Amino acid sequence: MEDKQIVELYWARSEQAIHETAAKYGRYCRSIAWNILFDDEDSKECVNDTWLRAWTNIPPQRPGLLAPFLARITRNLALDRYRREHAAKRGGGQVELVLEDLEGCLSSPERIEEQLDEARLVDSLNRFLAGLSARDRCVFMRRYWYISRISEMAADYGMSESKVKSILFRTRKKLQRHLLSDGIKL
Amino acid sequence: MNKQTAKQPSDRAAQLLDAIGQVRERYIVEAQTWSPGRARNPDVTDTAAAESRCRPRLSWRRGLVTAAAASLVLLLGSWFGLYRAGLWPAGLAGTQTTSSTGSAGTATAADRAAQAATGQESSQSSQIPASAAGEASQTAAASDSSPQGTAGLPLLVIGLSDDGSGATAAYGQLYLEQSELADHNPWTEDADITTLPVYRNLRTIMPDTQSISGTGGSDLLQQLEQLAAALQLTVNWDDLEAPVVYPSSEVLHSRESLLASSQQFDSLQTSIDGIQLSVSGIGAYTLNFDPDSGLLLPDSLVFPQGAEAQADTLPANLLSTTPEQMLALADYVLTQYSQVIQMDQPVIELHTRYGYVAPEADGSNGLISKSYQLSIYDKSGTLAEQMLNYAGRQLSFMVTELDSSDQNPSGGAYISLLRQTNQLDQLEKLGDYPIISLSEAESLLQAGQFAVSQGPQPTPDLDKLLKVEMVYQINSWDYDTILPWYIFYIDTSDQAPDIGLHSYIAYYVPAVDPQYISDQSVWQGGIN
Repeated sequence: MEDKQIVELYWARSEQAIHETAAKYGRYCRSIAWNILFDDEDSKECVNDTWLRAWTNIPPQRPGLLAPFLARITRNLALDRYRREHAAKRGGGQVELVLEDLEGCLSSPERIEEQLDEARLVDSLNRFLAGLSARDRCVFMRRYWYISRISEMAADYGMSESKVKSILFRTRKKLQRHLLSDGIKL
Repeated sequence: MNKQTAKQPSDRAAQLLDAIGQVRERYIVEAQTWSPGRARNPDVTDTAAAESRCRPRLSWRRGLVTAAAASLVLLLGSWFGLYRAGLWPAGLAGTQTTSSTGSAGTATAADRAAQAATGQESSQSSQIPASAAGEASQTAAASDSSPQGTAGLPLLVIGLSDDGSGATAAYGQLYLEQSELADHNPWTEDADITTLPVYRNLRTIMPDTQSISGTGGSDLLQQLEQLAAALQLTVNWDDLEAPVVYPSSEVLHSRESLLASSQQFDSLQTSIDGIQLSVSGIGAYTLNFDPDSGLLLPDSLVFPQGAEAQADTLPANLLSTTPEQMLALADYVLTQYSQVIQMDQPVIELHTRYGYVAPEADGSNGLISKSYQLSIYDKSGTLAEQMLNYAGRQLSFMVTELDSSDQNPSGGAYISLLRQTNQLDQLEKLGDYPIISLSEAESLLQAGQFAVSQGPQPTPDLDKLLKVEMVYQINSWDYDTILPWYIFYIDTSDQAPDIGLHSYIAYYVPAVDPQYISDQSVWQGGIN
């Protein structure tokens, strides 16, 4: 079933919408959750919460593309769950490694008191990503949006792991400079 | 396997991670489907970023077979898209081009900016260091192409940095009309060039220590002083922020400490009266304005610069904003900020970008986009300097909408960012290298001696040639050797679905005589 029809089911408040969503995007969302939580049960719960969140948000929303719409929900839910539970569970997920990576984009170890404007940060990120080559952008997104493993990315892209790491390193440094010049202090 | 962490990641890193989650959908979709170096799928249409491939290789993407298999990369912001403008400063004889949209021959802000710049010191007219400047030999008589004349030139290893991340040749584009491919590249086919300078890029990341090159403190202080003076602002020299380059995390805060330091810095910043001034190199700065300090635009210059719609929308109907409006906006910005723009002859380059995500089999859920990208470069100096400016020293700006309020019910917009980049401030000249002719480059192309970013590709059919140009490839840290390339744009629209847009692939041939290129294996037949 195409996305448009699924969305119409949501608007008609038909529970068939959930079934169709799960059939079409279940595996996709589960993989996103798994990369973050590294636990089957937690990932399943996260995906189920994604369907509930979609049900709550459609309507009033009418997403044109369901994949990124659902992916965002799953990612946010998984990260929230990770933050609540990560002190107890250290099961080999990638989130800590990704956060350590992103530390390298911080401009100063000093404490920044001013409130961070998230909208401005997102806008700056979008402009930064627009200026990258597709390869560097995709490597960056796979690592920091999808929280994919370096080994997985290297295998998928036919690159060595060192090359993937090098691309990520350069891109992080470029991001750091970009954010600095945009006046965004992290 | 978990790595032992030395410290708890900060809340700020988590905020950055959350913000990354909010970036545009097109990047989320693109990352699912991009694949390097795969054979072109004739059923897949490339978008403006066109390094994409439909490749449902990962198991987790099977749930997206139709959307993911047909969806394509959307990339806006490549430096490689083109639009023929019309704002030519009077007096640039020999460089006039026709345009279906622009005006020509009238005094513009570019003229006024050039006139205003004549009072500046000549050292500011070109940001290419004197040690690196080179001039194109424009007549056969002026250049000696004999082996003795070019003896001692080091062989060039081109295209790749130490990890192969360089030489990301520009990717194919979508276009609606061939006139959109016209540009203001200072190089033209009738340019009689026998040699051009080639440089080593000193902006590096050292592979062993991963330390990063930056800029010295005294240079940055001088740049900041000049920038503030141009804006008639007074700097508090004890309220600075200068982060030392990686791997250090040190930040210096005063003029004295910068002058006393032998380290290099990422940038130097300070805030004055709602304006954040940031300098990151010689002739490279960013100005961030808040709504109070930013230039408020007249209503006639407030319009969208991009739009997205369902894939069945006609490309011509995507965006009501015209190129003339965009050029008028650029002209206004050049006029209003002429005192800070460090260009003698600013020329506006307007790029039109299209993006496309193929719909599903029944025609639903696709996405098409159109946007404009403005950049401005300095067309002063020799042809070589102009070409380097075109590639590595550009001005850009950002427009931000104001929220509607009781005091300002119509909203409006202001200039929130003005940025001048300069990737030419750390170049070491290797020499003036012989340049092959266009016909020689065509011969190499037809012999399979080319590089593409969408490989492997068959030898192109020159009957489908849309355009050829010569450009320097410059991108901080990504290219060790800065040299000119011929770029052949070959139409590939017969491989694309009929969506009202056309497509092409860019083929790259080094413009330097092959006998001076030491390792041709890295680019013969393709990159990647």
